[in-house]
Amino acid sequence: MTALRLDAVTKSFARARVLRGIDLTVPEGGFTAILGPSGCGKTTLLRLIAGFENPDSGRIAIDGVTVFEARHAIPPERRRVGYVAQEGALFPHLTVADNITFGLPRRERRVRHRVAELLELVGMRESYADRFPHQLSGGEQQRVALARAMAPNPSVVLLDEPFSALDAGLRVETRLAVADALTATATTTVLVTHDQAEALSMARQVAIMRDGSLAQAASPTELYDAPADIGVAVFVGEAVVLPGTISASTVPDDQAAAGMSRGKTAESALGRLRVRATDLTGPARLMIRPEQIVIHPGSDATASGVSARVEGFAFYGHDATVELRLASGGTAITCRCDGRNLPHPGDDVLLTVDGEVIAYPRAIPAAHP
Amino acid sequence: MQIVRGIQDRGDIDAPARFRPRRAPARLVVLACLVALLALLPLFFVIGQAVHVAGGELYDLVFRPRVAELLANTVRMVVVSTLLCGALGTGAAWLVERTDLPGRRVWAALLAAPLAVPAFVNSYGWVSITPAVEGYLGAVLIVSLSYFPLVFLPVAAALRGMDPALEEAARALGHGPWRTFFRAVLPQLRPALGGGMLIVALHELAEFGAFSMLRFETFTTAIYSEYQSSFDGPAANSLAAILVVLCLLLLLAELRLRGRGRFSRVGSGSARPAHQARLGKAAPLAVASVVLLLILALGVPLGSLTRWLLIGTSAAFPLGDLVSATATSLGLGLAAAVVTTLLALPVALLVERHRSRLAVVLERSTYIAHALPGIVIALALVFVAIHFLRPLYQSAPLLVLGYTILFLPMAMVGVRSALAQAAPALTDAARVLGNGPLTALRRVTLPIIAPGLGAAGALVFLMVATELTTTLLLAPIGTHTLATEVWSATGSLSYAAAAPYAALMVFISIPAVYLLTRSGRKAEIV
Repeated sequence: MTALRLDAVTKSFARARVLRGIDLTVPEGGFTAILGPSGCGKTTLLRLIAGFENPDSGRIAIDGVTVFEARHAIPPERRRVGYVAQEGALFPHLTVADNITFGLPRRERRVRHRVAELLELVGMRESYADRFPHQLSGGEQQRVALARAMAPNPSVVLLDEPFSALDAGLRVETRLAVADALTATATTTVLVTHDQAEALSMARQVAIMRDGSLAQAASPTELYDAPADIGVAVFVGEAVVLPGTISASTVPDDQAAAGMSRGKTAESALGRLRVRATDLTGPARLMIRPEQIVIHPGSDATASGVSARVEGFAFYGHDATVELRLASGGTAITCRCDGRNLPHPGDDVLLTVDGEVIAYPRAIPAAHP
Repeated sequence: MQIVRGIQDRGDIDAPARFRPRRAPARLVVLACLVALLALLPLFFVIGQAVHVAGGELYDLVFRPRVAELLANTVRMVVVSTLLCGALGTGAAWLVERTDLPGRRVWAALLAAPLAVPAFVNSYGWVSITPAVEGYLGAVLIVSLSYFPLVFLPVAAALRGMDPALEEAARALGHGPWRTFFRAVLPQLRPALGGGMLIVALHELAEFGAFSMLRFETFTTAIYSEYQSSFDGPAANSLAAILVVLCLLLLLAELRLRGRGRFSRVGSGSARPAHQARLGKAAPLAVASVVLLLILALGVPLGSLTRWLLIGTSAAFPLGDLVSATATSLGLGLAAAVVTTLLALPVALLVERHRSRLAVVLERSTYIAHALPGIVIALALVFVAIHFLRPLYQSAPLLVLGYTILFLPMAMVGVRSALAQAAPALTDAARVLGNGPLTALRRVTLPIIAPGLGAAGALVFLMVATELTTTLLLAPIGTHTLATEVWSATGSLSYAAAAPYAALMVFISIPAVYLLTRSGRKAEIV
């Protein structure tokens, strides 16, 4: 069952085309994140779904009911969506309890245990019910805003960068509380964010938005492992991009038969690399994730690899990134590795690449149609 | 990599989208246009008059010895007294905010208090003690004492909000305390000081009661006497046109003075409290000068008022007249408060919620009255009533309309800040939770803006209760307010009879001053 469906939705403001034909499907109970840099139009998309503004063309359906099509729009109050704004937008003149019950029919607003249930759902104690919004921390305000949005049992909950105004520690904690509440109730959710870690860790489907259109919509792992283009690859994580030349299939048939890729290989500054299935041959650009690059001590005679010199590193505790420069050609390479046993700057090491790399056409595809 | 950069550089489509104004309903635009037209009426009147008597006649009316004399009088009075207010206000603000002056909090409150004594009540206090204050020097002294708080309040607020890091930076760059003050502090005070002095100058151009009582002729008093002799005559109207030109020149000068620099803190983080200068041996002298200023600005008028009150009540006490004048003042104030707040609402809604070039133009037009003396607004309404709306001439509704134009800028400030608190995101949240537009208005917007609207209305109410000039020209025959009673009693030198009315006016003004000083938008006092 599809909870939310967008077909060819477009929107312009004055001279700017903000959305250029968005198609998106969110399954019932699904959690979809729309990830994009600021200015890509993602908040506008959310406002169109909520009904605060109307698209220029296209169709929006919620729970199988068309809420917008060809100038016919259902007003926001009849769309049964929940909306959590960036700063919560709690009503400053109402208590937490009155905020939470705001969207309920009049006679249900008095029912106190509903408030307690909803507060518990978002991980807050019932004693907060009589406080006013200004007496809450930013994270608490966002939790109450979520409780308020969920109180009327909406078909879809829309989250508009709800954690971006919180500081780092509070952000993780609030994110977990919100994710728990949404999972516990199997609520269909659309989250808009510019934070890659947030989108990849919370959502089951991530849609990358760029310049008003969706570049790719896929599961977080697929997005990271098989990005549609270099732009997506660099946006969802760090990447080493090298020029290379792809030759025809040279992986021996016996290896291919043993389950290894039947694919091609490419010659590059990091040696001969295996390339994930591609139609390309000849000059191409190769994308390698920094954690695919393995460092071997220069003294290790058994290792065969490309020699490089360590230039520096940044230590993050759980892991570290090492800056290297290849001995031949002088290409700079970044590698992510375990935080223990780091090489020292000046050390000579050997590099190998683990797994397949992904090839993209050499010509830069036009970013703006 | 080019693609990635392409994405990130295109920024700022999203951010404005969140606050992107929605198209305004046509009815709201029409209402706002009507309000702006009303506010611009006096300006149209002045321009119309100038065009109407264009040519040789206008030349004769403008370039005559009488106008030159008035111009000289007005200009030397405004220039000297505005500079005096600037010095008194800045000095007092610096002492209270940036030194270890003993009892600073008490002095700060008392230094704003002269605003509660209307300038013509202040003049009444002085002139009823000694006729020596009549004439130029007395006029400069008394209006300066009445209006210096208009500089004191914004400059004190600016000094309080100023980041001490700026001064420290200047000191670190090798400047001594004096050079630091003139090169780092004073330029930062420019908007507050310039704004405050502009308001003082506009008040002085508009002031009628005080100068009339002190027998000092300015444009305003001359317009009034021309009006008395010939109603709607070209002489009064051409003087009014020159007065308006003076006001507009002042506004332009202030805009130039303000310049293009930024005056708020650049960068983030909260500012530390400012460093305080030690007065040391100069402390007694500083306290003495503040006390002297307060004696002159507050002590003399209030003392004189009390004296006349005692003398007056020992004779016949006109309780009936007092009650009826008070009732009239309060009634007019209430009507004007309601009408002004309601008329400010559509324009404020348009500019806060549906900002567009038109909305900003309409909003700015309501502020024009800020620079227009009450007497010009009154003349404009007299003209319109006589020529087009005869039944309205000398009626209470016309008077209320005059107050509305006069105090619309003040109401706009309050109504706008009230609306700013009810962010559109709150209306969105209410809509999505199942409320139609009207229900959202009732359940969210109105409860949030009600206190702000109330405060704006209260301010208009209090200002109307002590207004003199417009009331004198527009009030129906037989209508007496507190201000007109003081005016007519002092006109016939019955100082004791004026005392109870004047005392009541001061009493009514106190909450107005409290509201104004609390709002933090001191520069908006009309």
